[in-house]
Amino acid sequence: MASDSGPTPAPTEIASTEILDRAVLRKTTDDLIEALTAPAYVEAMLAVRSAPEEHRLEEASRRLSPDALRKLGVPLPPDMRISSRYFETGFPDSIDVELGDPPQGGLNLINELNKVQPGLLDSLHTQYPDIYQALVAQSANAGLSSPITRIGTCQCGGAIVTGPFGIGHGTACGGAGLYL
Amino acid sequence: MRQTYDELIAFVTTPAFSAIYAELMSLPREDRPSFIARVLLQPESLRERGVNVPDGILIQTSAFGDRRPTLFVVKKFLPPEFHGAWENVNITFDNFYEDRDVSRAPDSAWRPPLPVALQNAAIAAGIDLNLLPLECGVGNRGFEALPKTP
Repeated sequence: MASDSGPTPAPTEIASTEILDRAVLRKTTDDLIEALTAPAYVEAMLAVRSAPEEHRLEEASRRLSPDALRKLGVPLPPDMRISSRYFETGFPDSIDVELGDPPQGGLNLINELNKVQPGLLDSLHTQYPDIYQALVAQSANAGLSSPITRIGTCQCGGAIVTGPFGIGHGTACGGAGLYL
Repeated sequence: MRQTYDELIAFVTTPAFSAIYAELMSLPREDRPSFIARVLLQPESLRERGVNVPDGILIQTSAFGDRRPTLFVVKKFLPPEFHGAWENVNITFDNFYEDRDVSRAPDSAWRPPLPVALQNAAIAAGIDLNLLPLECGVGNRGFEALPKTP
């Protein structure tokens, strides 16, 4: 879908199949596995996992920062990122448009976007109807503002591909990821 | 973990998947979430393009607390006997961003992730994800106890 507004990719972002190079991916994941299986990392992660749920994020932010882990001798790749994360299985199904405040309280996502960029809703509706529909559906999702119910059940270790040349860095959520 | 990563690498380096990825990344940044919704998250569309997703491999969307502009992830769960330490491994595909624009500081990295639909709408509009308030995050009340940098 073409767009007549917003940033355009830098020339170096033009991808080729060479971006997904098997040898480079293997080297990146080798480095990541070395970090994620380091005893100090596993010990920190298990400490996060064993913390009471209400303190788990606090433990994660304290124990799992790159600086803190490197001080413990964990061989993190130079550009490693560790962050909260959650996964979705797909886009929300389309539903009727609902632009009012969520009945359970909390923020209306569409209104928040329009505060940042007035008129956005109309342009999204025209240029990216699938993105618009997903936003409307998720905005009406009563679970968005609810407390996390399964925090700490996701333990992921990932290699990141960003372009222009493919591999950027490793990533992990250290047992403090989120599933809703 | 090594074996499961190798399965993911074998999949994402197949010619059919690589061709889709190349097409995705040839688009303007703001057009990519829509392409993902129409192609990568649609099994029938993948089949039409010759992509056979192996059993156990998932193509999903996700969001990070550090607000990096992520696009999609190819993921596989590890066998249950490893779940005491790790649950899944993945290869995550991001939009391009400058490293300096995404903070590694704990109070930035551990923000509540944005809902994926909001994240994608912001990417489509060229909005800096960091401009969206914390309260938009998924399960934001669970993050309120986190210490903030003075």
